[in-house]
Amino acid sequence: MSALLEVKHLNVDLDLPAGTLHAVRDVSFSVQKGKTLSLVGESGCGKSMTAMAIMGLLPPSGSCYAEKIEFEGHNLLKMNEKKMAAIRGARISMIFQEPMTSLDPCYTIGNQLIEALTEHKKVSSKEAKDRAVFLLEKVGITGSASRLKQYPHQLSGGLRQRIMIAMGLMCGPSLIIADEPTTALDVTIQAQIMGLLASIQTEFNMGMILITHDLGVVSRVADDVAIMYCGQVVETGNIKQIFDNPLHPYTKGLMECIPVPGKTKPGEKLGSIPGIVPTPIGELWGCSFRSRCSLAQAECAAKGLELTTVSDQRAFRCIRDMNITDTALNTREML
Amino acid sequence: MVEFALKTENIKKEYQVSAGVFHGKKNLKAVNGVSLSIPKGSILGLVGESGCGKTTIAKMILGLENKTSGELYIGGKNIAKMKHKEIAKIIQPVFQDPYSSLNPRKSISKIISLPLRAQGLSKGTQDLEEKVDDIMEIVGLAPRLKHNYPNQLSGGQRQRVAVARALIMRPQVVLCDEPTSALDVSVQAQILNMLLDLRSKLNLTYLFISHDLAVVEHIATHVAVMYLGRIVEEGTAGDLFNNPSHPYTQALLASVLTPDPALGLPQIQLGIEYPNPIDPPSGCTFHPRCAKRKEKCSKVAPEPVIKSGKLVECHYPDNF
Repeated sequence: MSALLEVKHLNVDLDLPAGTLHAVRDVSFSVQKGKTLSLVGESGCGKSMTAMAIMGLLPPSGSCYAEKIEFEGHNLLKMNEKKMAAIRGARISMIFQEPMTSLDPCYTIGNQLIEALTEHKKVSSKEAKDRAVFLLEKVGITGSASRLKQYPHQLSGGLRQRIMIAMGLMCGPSLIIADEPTTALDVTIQAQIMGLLASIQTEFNMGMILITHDLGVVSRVADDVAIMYCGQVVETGNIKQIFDNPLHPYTKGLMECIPVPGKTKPGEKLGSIPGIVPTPIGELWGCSFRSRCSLAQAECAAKGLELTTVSDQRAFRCIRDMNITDTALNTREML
Repeated sequence: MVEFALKTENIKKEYQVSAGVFHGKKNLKAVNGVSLSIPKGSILGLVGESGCGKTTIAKMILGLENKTSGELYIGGKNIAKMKHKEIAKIIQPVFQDPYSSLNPRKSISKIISLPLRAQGLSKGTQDLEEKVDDIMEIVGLAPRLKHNYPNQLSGGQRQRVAVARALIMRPQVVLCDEPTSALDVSVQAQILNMLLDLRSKLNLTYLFISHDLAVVEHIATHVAVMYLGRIVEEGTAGDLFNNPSHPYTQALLASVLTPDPALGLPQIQLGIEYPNPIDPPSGCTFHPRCAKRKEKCSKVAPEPVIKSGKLVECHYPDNF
């Protein structure tokens, strides 16, 4: 089966006054129909830039080069702006983090939902409105006819995010890119919105790229995971492999950082990764995580560190033998 | 007898908000009778959804907002009889967003020493410098950062600066309002570890406001759950997390997504709408969202009941 989206060796560079910032370096992944791929990492590790490169929405200072970005059999790299605009929003849609800033405060919800469809398809406004009402009900908004006349400021954050999801679905896309869709929301609403996204995804058999730094959310909804650090993919695998047997020190570090009720002892020290994500400006070599890694050796600075493939989907970027047991990880398993 | 670092007695805060052009003004009860007491050296986690009044409580404690009624005691003294400067000596805040809580035009050493200068406690430049150096070492900031500006620092370092500024007065109570929610997970862990360290080193008391229950469970010794301006459940952290009694606490705990791929997404029966505080529901304010509501709930507001150190405000609590 061919993948819905296949990205091979994607690189994104940003030209900044301080030099060239390598925001995304040699990133490859694929998304299958009906499956969720999650890009995980701290802020500044290139998750959002990867999404923007796929959508063709890089900032003016950005340039992207890749072996291929193939979506439904079309090479997105070779598309002109007009063709790209026809795909963006219609076949691939995006849900952003902050629903208040991504909705236009001057137009009603109805206007914005209907425009999302009429921009791409030749439909009457009646048909578009019917579709909007249908989708609002799908995302759990009652009294949808009156909601269409409301403005974004009249709605709560959870409702606005539901509207954003409905808007993303207006044209029946086959791929959804959700960029931190629940970060700005309360925990109770977060669980509901994620449940909603997952059920809609199954119903319409869509592929999804879920961008987040919240490992809790990832573990509950993703099928495959790619952990990113400093613009590179440092580990890939399916959800079980990543959580049961993390191979890269960064993945392990991330997991030890979060307090888990029932596992971490209250009041005890959490594991933490010292330092901060370095800014990938200028010429880079070796492992980018070495400055924060507790297991770093002199060889980590050697040039050219490639992904080591373990099996079909499983790969990691570290020179260590993956069989070396990590004491910190073992103690956590024992608890 | 337990000594309380901070105590509130039935404090209320009402705002007058416009209800529309022809409707005049309406009362918004942001905080509707909250009694909290934090024993010295403990950490009270205050949790609840946005809009429930957590931050309003924080503002009243800091003296940034006048309470409508009720009494507030800090270190045994009534806050109404204290001057702002006196309050600031005992209690200091750390805010959510270290990107907006630090003045971008002041150097780090100026920012950290500001409370001392504002209180007129500086005994010359030398003394100030020494105190700044001390506190920077305590919170784990490299001394060379002293002459830098906030924009040259990472999020975690900025939050350390905010903590240093709060601690330079050697307060008894530190009020942390969502101190880690703007930070990455790895940095969050660093800051949480530091807060726990400082507590034992300097014998501090924290009021820790957060909506992240996993973080609260990790750090807090006592927890109070807030809903629409009221405390609906309060108890020791272990008791509250292991045997939640109020349906709202149960729902909050169920919606925490712990990293476990074996579990799916939880089914939460809360509905979507957080009620509008201008027009709160009748009876128990939680009843429209409660899965266990009965007829009585929509008519009679429950009274708080205290049993073996735990407070619950519900007609039909579990494990209680």
